[in-house]
Amino acid sequence: MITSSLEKNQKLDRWTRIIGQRLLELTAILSIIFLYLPIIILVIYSFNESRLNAVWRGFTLKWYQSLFEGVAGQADIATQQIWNALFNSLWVGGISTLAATVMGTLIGLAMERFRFQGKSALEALLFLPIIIPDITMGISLLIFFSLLFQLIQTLTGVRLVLGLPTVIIGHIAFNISYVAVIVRTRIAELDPTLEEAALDLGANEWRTFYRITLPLIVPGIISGALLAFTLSLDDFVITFFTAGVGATTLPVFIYGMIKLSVTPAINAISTLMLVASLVILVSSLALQRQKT
Amino acid sequence: MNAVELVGVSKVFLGKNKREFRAVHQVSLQIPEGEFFSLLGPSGCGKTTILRMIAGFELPTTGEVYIQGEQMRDRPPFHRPVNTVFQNYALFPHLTVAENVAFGLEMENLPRQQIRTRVGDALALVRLNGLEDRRPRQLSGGQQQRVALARAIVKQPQVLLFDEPLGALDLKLRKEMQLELKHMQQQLGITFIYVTHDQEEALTMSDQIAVLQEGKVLQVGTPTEIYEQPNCRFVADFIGESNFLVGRVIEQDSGGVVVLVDETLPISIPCSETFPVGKVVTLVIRPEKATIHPAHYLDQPCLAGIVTEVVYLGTDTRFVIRLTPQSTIVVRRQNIYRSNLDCFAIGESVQIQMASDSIQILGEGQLLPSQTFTASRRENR
Ligand SMILES: Nc1ncnc2c1ncn2[C@@H]1O[C@H](COP(=O)(O)OP(=O)(O)OP(=O)(O)O)[C@@H](O)[C@H]1O
Ligand SMILES: [Mg+2]
Repeated sequence: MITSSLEKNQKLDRWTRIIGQRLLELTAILSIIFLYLPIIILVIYSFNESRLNAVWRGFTLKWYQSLFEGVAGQADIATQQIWNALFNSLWVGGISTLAATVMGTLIGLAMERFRFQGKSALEALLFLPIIIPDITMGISLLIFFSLLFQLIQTLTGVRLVLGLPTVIIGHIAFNISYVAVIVRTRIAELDPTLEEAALDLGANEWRTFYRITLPLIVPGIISGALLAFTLSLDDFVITFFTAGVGATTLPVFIYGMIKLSVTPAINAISTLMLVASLVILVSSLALQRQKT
Repeated sequence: MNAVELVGVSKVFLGKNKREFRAVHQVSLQIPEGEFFSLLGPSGCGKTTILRMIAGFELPTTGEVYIQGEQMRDRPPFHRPVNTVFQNYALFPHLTVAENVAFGLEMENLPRQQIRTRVGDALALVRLNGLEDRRPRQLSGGQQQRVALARAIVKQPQVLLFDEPLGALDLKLRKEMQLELKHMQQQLGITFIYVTHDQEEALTMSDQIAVLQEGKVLQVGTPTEIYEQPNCRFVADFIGESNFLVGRVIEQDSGGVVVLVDETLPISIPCSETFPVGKVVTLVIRPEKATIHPAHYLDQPCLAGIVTEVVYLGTDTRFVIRLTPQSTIVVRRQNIYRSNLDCFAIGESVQIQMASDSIQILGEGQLLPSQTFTASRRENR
């Protein structure tokens, strides 16, 4: 009696387990399709012969070709603008990444290595740019800049306007947090006795940092920088609010183009950006995983 | 001159919610030059903290550390003439073996040629030639240990500090390294301060041992002193095996005392110290210092009891013998002859003989409640 009900239970258990497993697998597959189908379609249509996105007319590389004609200066104005926007994106990404990496690294170090007043407050503040909506950040930056420019104008008479510099400042603002968080994780994993060993062997604090700490956290710093660069390349909302006229980055430009007419060149350039982002992101992850 | 001297050193850590934790309490030690000095004690007794205060990673809350007679309070670790071999070795993972060993010399800005020769010498000393270009993670635990040693020795410090350096090695390698370290210390003439929780290791290697408990030094002495004349029950218990018999002094004269154990068993011991009659004392008897005989074997007065446990251990056999209803004693007998390996069986009456001068008396102890109970019942009768 008891054994048979036990057997029954076991059988039931096995079935629920199997069904549960299948359901989980199905959900996972569906979510992946849901996530990636639009992207896959985008990639496919970047090879579409037709000017209209909706219909498939056959395989072509001409949209990629038209992009690269832009380099030779033979392209139409639209492609020329795409290249301009791309150049702006790279410029903003490069500068903001550099600045955010230096500052984020220093903050990460300070957070992990020192005790100071208001540390927990800083910790919370540091996470804020990661969690607050981009739109909030964009609007607040816009208000900040206009107030600042007004102040400067009344004080010195110089009239400043929004442009690439303001975009760069905006990007630095949100990138610092990401870099700091990643660098900090790396430092937390670092065995503190390594630094003590260096001090013990006669290295002062500066040489200890330069010879031991820095080389060991470099993978974290690079991976933080790569992440910052991708985030900066991809950012639309904050850029949109801080860009002003003429300071168009690629995402902003693409958005503007969609409203006019969608050329498949956009699909091509989006695909290229996707590939670039993927490469950067994967190397960033690989560096984070790398063991000391 | 003392290589290292601690004067009234205490360390208080501020824990979470600002609670104070006294890790080291009023420790004063003099460590002579060229000596192998061990800090021995159970986990958490403050050994590492003391070592870290000597190395300069922690500052004493009160008290002072002197190295070669100089006060160290304002000296950061990189200006102290000591080097440390860390418990987990703390080798730099991004540097090769040779670079690890060279690191300390580069910090002294020595000429490159000199660094190369000294690194070579140090690696030869720890027998690691040929592994110069490996990374630490490509080495076995024993080899890593040697790199850590070479990295400290190459600096030619006055004092070397070791924090349980052999803790991660297997028993055999550990024994080998113990001998090797001891030889190296004698050869180099450097002062070694060696932290361990392994009493056997401390006994075999040290010139002097300080036994610690809960941040306090209980006893400092040579291995023989610590083993033969422990000054308290903790030391006697922590180092080697000990029997403790608690009793009251019932007679006392110039030659010694008579202690009544469990109200039934008088034991007379010669001693120079005086203990007042009625004082509760503890007798410490090492198991190997008592011999076991068949009942009525000796006609002089000695302890008698009944065997309750026999454990064969190879080189010797361990007997547990009940002396009184409350107390037992452990006796070890070397297995010299095969013929009488099992001459004492459980339940057998035996006699125990001890050289009375090998019993140590401690002026501390507590009678068990049952003993006081028996005592008072007797008085009621
Ligand atoms: N930085 C610290 N903050 C707070 N408490 C500490 C700190 N360092 C050590 N302690 C405490 O001080 C006590 C002594 O620590 P210590 O590391 O010196 O022990 P130990 O004798 O080396 O032990 P083990 O044999 O386990 O290494 C422990 O109870 C420990 O929890
Ligand atoms: Mg320790």
